[in-house]
Order: sequence, then structure tokens, then C-alpha cells
Amino acid sequence: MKKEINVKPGFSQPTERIKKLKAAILDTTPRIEVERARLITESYKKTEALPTVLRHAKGFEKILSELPVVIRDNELIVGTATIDSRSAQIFPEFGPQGLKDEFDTVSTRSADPFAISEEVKTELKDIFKYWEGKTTSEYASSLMDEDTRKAYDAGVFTVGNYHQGGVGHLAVNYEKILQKGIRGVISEIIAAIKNADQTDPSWIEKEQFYRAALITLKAVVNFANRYAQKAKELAEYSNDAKRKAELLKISEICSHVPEYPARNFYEALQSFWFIQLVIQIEASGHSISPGRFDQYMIPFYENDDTLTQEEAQELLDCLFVKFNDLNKLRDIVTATAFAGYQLWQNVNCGGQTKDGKDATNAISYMEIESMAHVMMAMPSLSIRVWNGTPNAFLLKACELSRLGGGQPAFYNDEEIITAKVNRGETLEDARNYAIVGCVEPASQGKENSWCDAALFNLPKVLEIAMNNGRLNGKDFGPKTGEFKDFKSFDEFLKAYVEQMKFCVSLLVRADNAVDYAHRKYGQLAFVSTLVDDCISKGETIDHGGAHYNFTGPQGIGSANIGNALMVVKKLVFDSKTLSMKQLKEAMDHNFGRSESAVPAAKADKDEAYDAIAQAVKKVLGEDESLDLDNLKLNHDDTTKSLDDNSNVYAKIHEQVMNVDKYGNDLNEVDELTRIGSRVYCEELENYKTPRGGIFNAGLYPVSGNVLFGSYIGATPDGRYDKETIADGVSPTRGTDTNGPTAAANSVAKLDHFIASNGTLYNMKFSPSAVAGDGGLRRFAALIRGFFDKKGGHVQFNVIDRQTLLDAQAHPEQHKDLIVRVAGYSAQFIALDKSVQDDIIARTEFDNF
Amino acid sequence: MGNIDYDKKACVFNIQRYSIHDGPGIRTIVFIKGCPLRCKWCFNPESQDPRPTKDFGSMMSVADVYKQIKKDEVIYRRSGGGITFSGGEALTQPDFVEELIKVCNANGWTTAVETEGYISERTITRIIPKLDYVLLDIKAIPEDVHRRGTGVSNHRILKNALLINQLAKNVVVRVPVIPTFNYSKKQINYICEFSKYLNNVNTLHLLPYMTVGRKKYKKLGRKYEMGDIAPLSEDDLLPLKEIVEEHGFNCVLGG
Ligand code: SF4
Repeated sequence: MKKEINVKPGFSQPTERIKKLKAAILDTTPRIEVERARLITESYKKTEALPTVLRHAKGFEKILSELPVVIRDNELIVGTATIDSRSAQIFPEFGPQGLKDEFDTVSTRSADPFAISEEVKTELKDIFKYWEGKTTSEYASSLMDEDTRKAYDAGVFTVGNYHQGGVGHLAVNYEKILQKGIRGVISEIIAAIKNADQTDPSWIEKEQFYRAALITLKAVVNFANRYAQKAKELAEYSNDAKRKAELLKISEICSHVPEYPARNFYEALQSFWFIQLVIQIEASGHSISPGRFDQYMIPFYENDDTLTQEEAQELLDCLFVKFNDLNKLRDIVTATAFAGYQLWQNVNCGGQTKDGKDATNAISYMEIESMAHVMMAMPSLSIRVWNGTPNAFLLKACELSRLGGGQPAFYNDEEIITAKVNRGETLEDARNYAIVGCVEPASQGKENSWCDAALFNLPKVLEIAMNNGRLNGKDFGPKTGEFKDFKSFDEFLKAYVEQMKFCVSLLVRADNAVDYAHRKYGQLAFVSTLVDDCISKGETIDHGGAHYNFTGPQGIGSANIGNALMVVKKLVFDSKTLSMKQLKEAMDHNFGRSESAVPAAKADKDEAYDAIAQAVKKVLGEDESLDLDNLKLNHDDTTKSLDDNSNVYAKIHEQVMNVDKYGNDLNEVDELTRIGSRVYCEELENYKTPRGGIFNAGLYPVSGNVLFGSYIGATPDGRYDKETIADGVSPTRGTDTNGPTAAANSVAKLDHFIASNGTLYNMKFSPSAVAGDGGLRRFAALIRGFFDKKGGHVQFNVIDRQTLLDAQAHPEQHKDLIVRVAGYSAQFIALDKSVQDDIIARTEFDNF
Repeated sequence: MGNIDYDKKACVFNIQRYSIHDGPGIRTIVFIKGCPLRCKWCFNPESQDPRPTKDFGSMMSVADVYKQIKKDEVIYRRSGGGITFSGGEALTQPDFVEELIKVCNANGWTTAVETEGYISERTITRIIPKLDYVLLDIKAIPEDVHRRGTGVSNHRILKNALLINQLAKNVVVRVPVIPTFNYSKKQINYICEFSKYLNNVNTLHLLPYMTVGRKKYKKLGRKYEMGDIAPLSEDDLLPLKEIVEEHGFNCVLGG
């Protein structure tokens, strides 16, 4: 029976159950739990003679048979990795070993703190001892050469994601489990074994994989059965007749799925959740993304006559809350960069079917409704948009966006599908892309795109190019000439390209080292059974079993590159108002802002200092009377007094800031931004991954732009020392002052097709600018318009009152904030204080 | 359509993109200098003088403007938006506006004008029928009140309103609501009564008084006659909205 889609304005209220489930999670202090680490370690101690793939499978089996089984109050969808909700299990086999030194401070750190008991601390430290020298993380480090390490340490890039944890970023074939059950997958493996040529020399390894896969699949069935048993027990003790009935139903469902095909919507949801959960118990990789949930769920919903629409919605809400039951411990640096207990479980809706028809269905709308009901950190919602997307659906998604949670994000099918086909995917597979993690498109169930393989610091490369190949003062890259000696803009651009080639080659070496470490020690059998063609090829995803393989590192700071190139071109070579030397000097002196350190200049001086120190040492012999540290201090003091020229440098800064900036729909600077970021993408295309694919660049930041900024001195775009760099393909904060359409046009001028691992564009709005039906329509028009121009991704921040207050206090950071004044819209900070107050007061009346 | 004179010039003081309150869809407003009125509350007093000054306004050709407004073409298409002419009083430069209307038509963009109605009948008959939307300011009905607030009589404006009503494809009446001037039920009632004679009008916009212009007067060496009067919020206009609706019009606050 086909269910009607009734589009209504606004959102309904979540049920009491959902409110309680939500509160229960938010009220829990996340805790570190030890069971998983203990179980896998016990298992590994007993399996030292076995190949990795079997060792990990046996560890997984042990975990799933002994991990505490917990059903929380009010839950309808069950299954958890931890006794307390939102808590974290530990994955010692991946590392990093350094985590063990953080257990003492993890409960008091400001970013993503976790409570930890003394017993757990002691036990974990003990467990980590066993893993010393055995983690994928340490093995990967041992595979990196010196230059690669240098670049990594200096923040030219970080490959921390897979270096510090398990492989993630997958949208697996959930449909297979829903439709055929785990039994179906087992049959698939048995058939593959039967058909295999056992004389083939690779058979030995294949057989090991198959054996491991069967162990893990049975373990998952056993895990679900433990839940069935637990629910039954709880039902026996329950005095509440209603809850008793619910628990009995849960018990019945868990004894059926995921072992057998799901028979209705409720079973499909529970089956899905078991798979989603155990993938995240198998390994610590994040961004395990449900992907095209509306596509594989719809048959179970449409053919289900046992549920009302409201009941179905509540079940879906339960699942959406449940996504927040999971958590992971990250080291302090990573936690600070990506604060928010975020696992990037990305749910998609809409777009096109494999055969190119509109894919929007009833579940697509229900997903949006659930997001509005739940409003928690997870899941992320991705809306796929193409020319055939119904406007009603797009408007509904805009309505969610207007609630202000920063969700959903919008993706352009017309761009992404083309880009994927260009990477060698079939049209069908490209159309079946799912957004994984932040913004990365991967063909669902077929692709191991290793997205987020690295964050790459584009402006750092520019800095190296400005310093004749020196990295923080030390010789490093090719000698491409001193900044002050460049005779033309093209020479400078060429130097940047040369350094880019060099740095990208190091990035590739780092990523391949990590990749190889996972191939050797991190083989994941269970998740591999859900990615085509692992079963037919008899290989895990880590071995290259996926149908499509990529490595997707993303570049950050496109806007800084474009703006910097523009300044050099305009001020030095076109108008000749500045010499290269003057510009370099101003940057070395942080444009007259002396309070913060100046690494580039300091590094040069360090060399000088070293030379002086050596000479002095020679004269004085090894006499201790010379305090070298003191000498250094004095030396630094002299530099400070030199900064009395700061006025001159501040003047130069003013000139620099007056040069056209990316984000204002100005062709010349936009073109330079395109060139600057494209170089990176093109260079990466030349390299292969150990799994048999190619490197596939993205241009998005997660939130690494703040961290990366701290590694770079002042840059020609007027960015101060250590200041944050631009996020994704967005303009530098505060420099896009011509309104949203101008900024969007600039962003669309970049080559999104070649950045096929995803681009990210953030836009901000005041609630009043998108208020009312007209506001929604304009919102939708803006998305459609940006996508017509072939932008890839856009997401919106609808600005609340608090931000407006902040904009008043710190206008320099909010130059791009456009608000509705009365008969027209204006830049917020340009308004008179009284008018600002007026607007702030007004937003309070915008009742969403 | 005939030829377009891309060299025709006028003094333009701003081109505002992503404008969303002055006609359908997402629009770009071309602000043209010059206004025969002298409203005490005018928040763009620099725009009254038709000539460019040192830091305000510059002579632009139709080609120059075209280059700018073209940038949001895709957005006009997707949102049903287009170009709005405003000022000052845009229709003090009918030749320039007419050429730009031709440009818009050639590109398929909708056109709108914000006018205070104090223009010649010739201009109205020539320009108004060519526009898709007209936003017509009516500030007050009693002549003395009008003269006191704007420096001119409203006879011509009200007469022109009747003509515009006949000639325009779509017309909306806009009322800046100003304390000490027309911020009263009585004054709004008059405007509604008059608007009933405009049979094509079914929507009134009420725009709350703002103090955005205050500082500019000082710069121009002029006195800001509104003094310290506080700005109005949309909430302040709710009672007036009721009146407008009682007269059978749609009422949009802050239009
Ligand atoms: S009509 Fe408008 S532009 Fe002219 S003086 Fe009055 S408020 Fe200013």
C-alpha cells in the first residue's frame, strides 16, 4: 500500500517518550568504559599465532558475546556499546598509545571531557602496556620517512584520522541485511567459497578472510539474541503492563533481526541499528554513515500495515536519538579541533535513484521531521538536490534549516554525479552516492573512499614558497627562489606550484604508510562483508576489496591562497605600490602586530642566533658561564624594539586589506582562488593508493582551519600570525561584504568537479531574512541558484540573537552578516547602534 | 524593443544585491540620486541632491549598471526576482530607467520601481506601464500634514496615484510610519480610505520609522529635525495593521 505524503507547514511536537530519551542522554556525563579494551586484549593474547584478520574477528566475537547488554528506560530501538549512554569504549589495537598519558586529565579537559574511575584508569594503563609497539598507529609511524615526518609535525598536513584510529567513512550496504538478513550474507560467503579456485595462490588469504567473516557474522546474530533474551528477562520483572508489552515485542524483534530479513518497518529500524552499532564496535573509525536511508527503508514502511504514521515517526525518532548513544574518546588535540562528541553519522535523503528518477519519498520527509523533533548533535542530515527535486521537499528542508541547528546540508546531484563519473564510476553507482561524514560523496555499499585521509594546509605551502623552500626556517622543499627576488607574478605562482608538488608527494607517502599499516594490522572482516566486492574478491576493505577505492585528503584555506596571490599580483606587480621585500618585511613583522610570535622571521633569526652561539662557544670553549638561553632572550628583546616600525607595517596591512578579496563576485581574485586550490587537486590525481585506487582531493575543513592557522605566520592576504585560515571553500571570515549572492557566485567559480571528495560552503543568515513563506522560497531559490552555477555543497547558519549581540561587541568578526533592516537588507555592523538594538529586539519576535 | 542606449548615464549611489523586501523574489536595487522631496526622516539625505558628491554616488552608464546587475541572473531566474529602481526618486531619471527596463526585458528579469509619486504625468505614462511592479509611497492625505513632513504638497502625488493605479501591472501602497507625522490611527485611516479609490491596490506595507539616517545629517551640516524620537518596532504597528485589515487590505509590516 503506497503511503500518502502529506506536506504540512511547520513541525509537530515529539512524543513524551522522545523527550525523555533525549533528556536521559543529555543528562548523562560521558564515561570511559573498559570492557571492549579488556575483551579484545584477552582475545589477542590467546591468538598470537593467527593471521590478523582472524585475530581481529575472534576479538570481535569475544566482545559481542561478553559486552554488557543494556536496554534503557523507554527505549524502543535497543543496542548499545556502553553501560552508560554517550560513553566511550576504547580501541587499544589502533592506538594512539599517547592516549594512556591523558587518562589522568581527560575528566577535566575543556573539550569533550569524559569521567573515568580509578579502577578503569589502572586497568586501561595496564592494557595499553600490552599494545605497546603493536598498534596500527605505531606501525604507520615507523613507515614514515624523515621528510614526511617533518612536514607532518610542522602542520603542512595531518594524517591523524586513520593514523590515530580505525578506518571509517563508509556508507555500507545496509539494504543487504534488511532484505536478506545475516543468513543471506552467510549464504553469499558459502557460495563464494564453493566457487573459488582453491589452487589459486591467493586462496590461502581469501580463505582466512571468509573464515573471519563467518565468525563475525555469527557473533552479530549472537549479540542480537542476547538482547532478545535480556528484553524477555526485563519483561518478566516489569510491573508496567505497557512497558512489558513493549519489551516482549523488542525481544521478539531481536530474535528475528538482523539474522533474518526484516518483515516490517520496526524490524527494519532495529536491524539497521544493530549493524550501525556493531560496525562502530568493530573499529574506532568515525563517520559510519547510514547514507541513503530513505531509499533502503521505504519498502518496509510502505508495505507495513501494522503502524500508524505517528507510530512510525516515533520509532524513527527513537533511532535518531539513539545515534547519540555512541561516543568516542579522542586525544586532546583532536578533541579540541573537533569538539562536540561528534561521530558524523550522516543520514541522507532525496536525490536520484540509480536509474535517474527522483528519489524523494515519504521517509525523506520523515527524516526531516525527526531532525526537528530530536535536534541533537547526531545524526547529520544531508539533502540531495537535483533539478527534479520537488520544491515542497526543498522548502521543508529549508524550514528545518531555519530552526537554527545548522542542519541540514544541501548537496548538488548535478555536480557530484558528474564528478564521480569522471573518477571512473558507472552512472548508476555515481547516482547512488551517499554523503559520508562531513561532505564526502561515496557510492553506497561499493566504495572505500578513505575520505578525510588528511587535512592539508594550503597556505602553509604558500609560506614555504615565500621562503625559498624553507620550512620554519630550515631547508626543506625545492629551491624556488627568495620571495624578494621574484621578477613577475608568474614566477611566484610557479614557485607555489613547485612547492605544492613536493608537499603533495609527502602527503601521499604519509597516507600510504597509514594505509599499509591498516592492511597489515587493521583488517576488518565484518564491515567488509557489507561492502561490494569484498566477498567476491575474498579481501577485506583494508586489502582493497571494495569495488571503488580512493584516498581523499582535503585542502583547507583556498580563500587565503586566492587572496594572497591577488595581493602579490596587484600591489607588487600590477600597481608596483609595494616591493616584494617590503611585503615580506611587513609579514615578518606580523603587519605591525608585535604581541604574537613571528615564526618565519624568528626562524631566520634562530639560524643567526645559532651561528653567533657557535662562534661564541668556540671562543669561550665549553665554559658554562655563557647562558645561551639568556642570550636568546636578549636577542628576542632586540627584535621587539625593532618593531617600532610597526606603523609602516600596519599601513601596508591597510593596503593589503584594500585589495579585492575572494567572496565578492570579482572575477580576477576568484580566478586566482580557483587556480590556487585546483593545483592541489590536480597534483593529487597523479598518485595511487595501496588499495588500487587514486587520490581524490576534497576542499573542506571539518574544523581543522583553526588548528592549521596556528602553524602559519602572517600571509600576504593580510592574515596575521597564527590566525585561523578560511574554512572549506568559504571566503575568509568578514571579507565577503557584497551579500550572499555575491559570495555564493564566488564560491561557485571554483572547480567543484575536480574536488570530488567534497567541498564545503558555510552561509549565515539572520532569522528575519528567511522568515515567512517568502523567506523559505528565497532560501530555496538561493540553493537552486548556487547549484545552477555548479556549487557542490552549502549549509546555512541562521543567526540567532546571541550572535547579533556578539556582532555588536566584535564587529570585526561579523562583517559578512546581512540582516533585514526594514524596506531593505543591510550589513549588520554598518548600522547605527540604535538600529542594531532595534533589530536585536526584533529577532525575539521571530518565533520559530 | 528597439535599440538600447548603453551609454546613457545617471548618478547611481548604490547597487544593493540580495534585496528581499521590495518586490517578488531576490532582487537587486539600483539606487538613483535625486529627490524633489525633503522628508524630515529621510534616511538617505545624501540621495536628495541629483549630482554626485565627493564620496556619494557616481555617474554610471547603462552598460556599467548592466555589468553589476547581471551577476545575480541565476538567482532572479530561480526566485522570480529582478531589478528594482529606487532612490532618491528613480523616476527623476526616466531616460536612464527606461533604457535599463529594456535591458531587463531583454534578459527576462522582472522590474519594479519604488516611487514617491512626485513626478510628471508624462514620465508616468511613459514608464509605469513598462514595469512589472510599482511600490507607491503615500505618506499622508491631509495636505498640511504632508507639506509639514515632506516640504511639498501632496496634490500632485495623489493625482498621480490614480494614474499609476490605472497604468501599473501590479501596485502596492507603502507607508513609512513616522511618529509626530502619521503614526496615528486617524492618519492611517485616511490613507486606507484613499487607497480604496485605487482599485488595483490590495496590499499596504507599513514601514516602521528608523533612525538610520540620524548621523548623516550631521555630516551634511544639516539639522536632524526628528531629534531623539525612538525608532518604532513592528509590534508598535500592530494596532495600525488591524485598521488596514479592517479596510479589507492585506497588510505587510516592514514590507
Ligand atoms: S521621498 Fe524618500 S528619498 Fe525623498 S526625501 Fe523623502 S525619504 Fe528621502
